[in-house]
Amino acid sequence: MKAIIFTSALGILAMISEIIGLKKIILPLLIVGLLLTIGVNIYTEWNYTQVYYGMMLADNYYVAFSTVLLSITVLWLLLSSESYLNEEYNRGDHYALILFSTVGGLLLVSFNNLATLFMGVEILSIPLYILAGSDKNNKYSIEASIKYFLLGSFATGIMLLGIALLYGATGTFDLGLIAQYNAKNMDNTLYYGGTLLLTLSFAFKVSAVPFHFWAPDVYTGAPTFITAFMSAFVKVAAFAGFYHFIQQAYLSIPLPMENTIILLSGATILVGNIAAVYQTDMKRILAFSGIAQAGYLLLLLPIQGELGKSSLLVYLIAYGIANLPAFYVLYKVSRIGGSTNLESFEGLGKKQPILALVLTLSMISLAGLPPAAGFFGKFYLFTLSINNGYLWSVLIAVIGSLISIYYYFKVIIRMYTSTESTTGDSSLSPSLQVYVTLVVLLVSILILGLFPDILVSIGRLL
Amino acid sequence: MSNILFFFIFFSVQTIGSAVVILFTRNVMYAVTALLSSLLGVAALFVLAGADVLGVIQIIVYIGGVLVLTLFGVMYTYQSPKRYQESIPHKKSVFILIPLLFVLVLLVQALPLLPMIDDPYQHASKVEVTGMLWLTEYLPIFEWIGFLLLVVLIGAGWIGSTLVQEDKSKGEQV
Repeated sequence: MKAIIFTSALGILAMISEIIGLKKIILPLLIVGLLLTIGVNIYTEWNYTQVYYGMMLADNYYVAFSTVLLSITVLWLLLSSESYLNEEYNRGDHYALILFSTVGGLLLVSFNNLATLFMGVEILSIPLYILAGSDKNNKYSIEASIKYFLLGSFATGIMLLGIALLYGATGTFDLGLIAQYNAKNMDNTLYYGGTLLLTLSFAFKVSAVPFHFWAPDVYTGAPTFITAFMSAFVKVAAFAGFYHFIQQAYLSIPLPMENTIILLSGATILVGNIAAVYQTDMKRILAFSGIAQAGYLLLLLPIQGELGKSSLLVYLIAYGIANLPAFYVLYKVSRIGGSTNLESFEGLGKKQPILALVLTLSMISLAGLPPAAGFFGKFYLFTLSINNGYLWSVLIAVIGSLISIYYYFKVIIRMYTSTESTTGDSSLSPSLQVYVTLVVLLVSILILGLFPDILVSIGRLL
Repeated sequence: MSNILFFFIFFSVQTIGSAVVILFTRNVMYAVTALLSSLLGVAALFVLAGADVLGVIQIIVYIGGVLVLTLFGVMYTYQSPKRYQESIPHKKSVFILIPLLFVLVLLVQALPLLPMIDDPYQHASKVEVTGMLWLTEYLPIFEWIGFLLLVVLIGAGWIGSTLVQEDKSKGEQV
């Protein structure tokens, strides 16, 4: 609860920063504020489970994932600062909207009532509809915004209908009471209808096939850093929220829901990976890679218990810290090359070895190869799924991973093989704060890849 | 068929029928009027379900506020009505049928044609219970709704303000 209040207050501060003359120092203020929020949140809520007003459940799961979400916001603020120094966008309002979106994410990992779930999804999404269209001179940005808004509204409508059906079956919005109902009555059409609709609306939010059509267009059209936020933050928030819902509302996951999720997972892995092979635009490659990653993560959802939670934590953190730097490099390349095509990456290894190294490591992590953090994310996920009997799904996932290595390495090879001899371009160098952030991210990718026990031991306490 | 069921079917047909009219008419005024009818039907369904507070809110917010705004918007942007003129098949019979239906509803209520099995009015008003819930258990939800509206306001303001800046720069160029 404190984290939500603090983040909202910081958002309002960002909003009025230009009026009260804090425009110059708003970024350091927000970062210090968010770091303090993370500290206070861990200090006061860890191992101290509490229910606020029956609407919010603050347990260790909430503390862990709210820390991940707030950290992603801090990293995003640091990495994106360059685009605001160039006065490309109005920073006060942008920061406010990003922080408000963060509040929605925090609600999503802590809801104890379906009304809170709905508010969380809305507060998470509406700022992003606006931000996707924030590049107003670019018609693709406007297209992305409208597409995201319309399809997002449909998904919200489906979610509301699902909540209404669940209410009709159980007579309550409270997750604990729904779980009690679920333990007693196992065959109610209304109940399963509601569950199915909720599952589908979540599948839209995490861009699972066949609800993925918005993702490539929105990712391409939106400004690069907004895409980075969408692909890192929203995916983490949506998956953590979905897992939280299943965990709180069902003592054991109902079979129809399990089958639906496994089916969605297989389709998402195959379609995401195969479609990514044919893309020539880096943004679209990352969009389809995001879809494929959602497919792997879907495999985790039916697996409850501490192993499932710790595996989810490892995978989501590995995904987040690999995705953000990749988008930063993409932004830098598009600033100079003018486009995000694969050709723009040619010779990056000679022009900017640091940026090339960053991109290489994040691609390796996304592909799930050792020594990067992504390897253990996939390793735990596949082991756990096999132990739970999803042998065929894991087989599909492994095939998908093999395909993914092709398109992740296509970028790396482009960067390091170039016929033209170019000298270093100083305008591509990152600023000091970004440089430090990138180093921190790279080191954490390597550390989590070499010592994954750090996260697993935290995950066991959730 | 109980009285409640009769009214439920009547208002359901009104709601869905009006919604279909909105979809298929080319005349904006007809569409707005049909929307009015559809929203009124929903309000009636709320009352039938015992949610009288929600029914009143539906009438105040949607019909009193949103619809009047829409109506004014349509009237201000309305171009020559002849452009949208469309012929209604069996015009006379339609205009006789609709009032007849309303008379039928009144008759059913006035004459004891149908047995009153479950009268919603026998329950006490829900206003007090709803008010208590809203100010206790559901208070955080209302705060978050307020927060959401703040987000929407910022978004709207932000979109508008950028447009003004663009206009200014264009003015300077000229």
